[in-house]
Amino acid sequence: MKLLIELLLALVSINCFGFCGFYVAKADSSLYNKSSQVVLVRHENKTALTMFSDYRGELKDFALVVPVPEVLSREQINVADRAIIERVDAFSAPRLVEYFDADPCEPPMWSTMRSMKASKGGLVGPSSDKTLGVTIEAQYTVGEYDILILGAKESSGLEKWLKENGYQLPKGASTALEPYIKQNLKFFVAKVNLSEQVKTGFQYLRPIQFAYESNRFMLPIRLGMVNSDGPQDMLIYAITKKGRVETTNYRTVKLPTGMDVPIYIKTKFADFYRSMFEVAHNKENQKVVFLEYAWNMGWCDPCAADPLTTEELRKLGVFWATESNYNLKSPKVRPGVIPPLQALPEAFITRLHVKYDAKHFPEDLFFQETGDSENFQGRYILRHPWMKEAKCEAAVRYQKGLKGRQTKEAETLAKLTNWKLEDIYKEMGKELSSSNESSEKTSEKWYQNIFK
Amino acid sequence: MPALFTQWLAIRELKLPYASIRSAVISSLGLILLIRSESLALLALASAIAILSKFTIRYQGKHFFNPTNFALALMLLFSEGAWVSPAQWGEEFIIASWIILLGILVTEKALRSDISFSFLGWYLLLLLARVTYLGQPYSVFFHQLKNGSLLLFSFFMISDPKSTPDHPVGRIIFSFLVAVLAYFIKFHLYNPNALILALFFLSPLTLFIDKLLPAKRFDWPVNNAKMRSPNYYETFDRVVTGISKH
Repeated sequence: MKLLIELLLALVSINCFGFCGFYVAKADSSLYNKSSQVVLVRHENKTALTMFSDYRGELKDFALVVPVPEVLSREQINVADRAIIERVDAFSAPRLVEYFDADPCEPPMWSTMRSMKASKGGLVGPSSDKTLGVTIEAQYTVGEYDILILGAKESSGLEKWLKENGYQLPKGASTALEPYIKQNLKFFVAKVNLSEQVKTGFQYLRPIQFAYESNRFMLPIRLGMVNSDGPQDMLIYAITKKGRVETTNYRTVKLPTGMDVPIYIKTKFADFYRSMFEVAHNKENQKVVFLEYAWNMGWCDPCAADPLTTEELRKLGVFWATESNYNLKSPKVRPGVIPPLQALPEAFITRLHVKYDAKHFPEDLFFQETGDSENFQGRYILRHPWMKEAKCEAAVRYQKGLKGRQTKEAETLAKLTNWKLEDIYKEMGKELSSSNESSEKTSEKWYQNIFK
Repeated sequence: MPALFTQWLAIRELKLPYASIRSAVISSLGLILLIRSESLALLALASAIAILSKFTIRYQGKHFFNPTNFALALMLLFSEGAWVSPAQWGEEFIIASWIILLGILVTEKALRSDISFSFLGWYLLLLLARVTYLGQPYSVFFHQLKNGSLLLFSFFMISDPKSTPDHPVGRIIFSFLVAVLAYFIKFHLYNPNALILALFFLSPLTLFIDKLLPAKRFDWPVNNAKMRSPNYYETFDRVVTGISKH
């Protein structure tokens, strides 16, 4: 039995070395101009939602209006640290990994892989509430936010009320509000309390969190489209107990992954990722939700960031996480080598990336948790060629194969990003020419081997 | 394979004609179009349940659950490892399918397509009413039409002539009830598998409707069973069950 376990372990580790590569860069949320990030923790009908947008305007102009299924009490609302969103973003971001080709003259050895250092990647008086059909169900100041939970009978009344109370609403807000009012939803309305904001000492707005019970597993995105002047990027980190989350009213599509790309992408990963996403997005007629990552939160391979600790998970609203069922307080997960041998925690993350606008996304996003616990990650590979002088036949063969490999990498890149092939070759210049030279130098005529 | 094996066993034990093996093939195809699971064992179980239901859950010779629907609903209700992805098909594919299926149905006047039409009529009416009441743009309604499950359900599941009421009026009543329950499950319980579950829960009602509105049991004469209908599933099932009764 022991032998069997050891054998299995050996298989695991070999497989891992063959597969992982070294993590070098990630494409996290900082790539996008207008983006919002949502952490959606869900089990049964319990949901903990964390919302964060990279709002860059005047703080006094900031307002957030979110339909919620019930009147939230003070205990259901929280303001979180931005760091926690950055952690979950970093953990799940699409990643670039690199391999170094071994000396073809030496027998294959796993240990020839060299380690690379990861590159761095105050509320106004409610004067006319009754006549407008608006009721303030609750009001709180939480952190730097003044929060109201509003009930409304008519969308025009609610729009008027919000305007009278200093919320700048764009045209068409009333139409967008109406369906939510008809479904008896309440409105979670947040505004920045400037004096409280100064006390926090932060230059930015922190994420707002709230927890509620509802059968609706959804995200209201329609309101956000009203004041938008173009498509918006949204990253959704859904955390469930068992399996991958997908949208039920839009197709969820896996992003292209696992391709070999030219080495120069190492310094241009952000450009590469943006272009690739754009191409995939257009190819699907701008109508789908992309899966970027699906993984148990106890491990990663390769790791773009360490797995989250129990404390961090709890901060994200993973309400079922306790020290007793998680052994992740100090994860000892090194990049490239994994998985932990203890039982995996009941926390599965799905990172969905949606670029949406009113035309292509007429409905809010509805989700379901599936039984699919298969791992998926956005992962792109750099392979550094072995460039020394060829001293054996294997090396000659290897160097001859290089040209084909690099051509393929360039073509893959062109296909993924719609970049021009000639530009790619130009950028690849150095890596290409040297390998071409070496392959030319060592190239042999077709007849050289016949009469040996 | 398990489906075929089950059908083969049934054929052997019940001395049915071997041609009925095709019925199992079609049931399995219907199932694999919809069901998703990581576990092969669960998929095998689902297909075995589908076929077994046809032979075991019968009343006066009528298997009142559609086999595919029965297996799917049980899997969705009682297993955590199986699911249906309602949005898995591309939009263009779905639009094309609508046009082709409706076109063929209209031109071919398939015998039991009335229930597909009446179900779609009721359900779309409810969707339209909801969108209008909520004041949503009509693009929401059209977006809801582009759901692969709705398409498959209307043309390949509720249309099964063996498991729906025999009388045409019965079928209209039955499809209305399925549409209302599906609407309730989708928009009040927020379960994305509303159509499958609604049909499952209401299928036993077929027996009562048949009692209230008796009509000749559906029997597809063998020599008329050309594969002209767009609904191959139905056609096969008709052929097969038609034969098996003689």
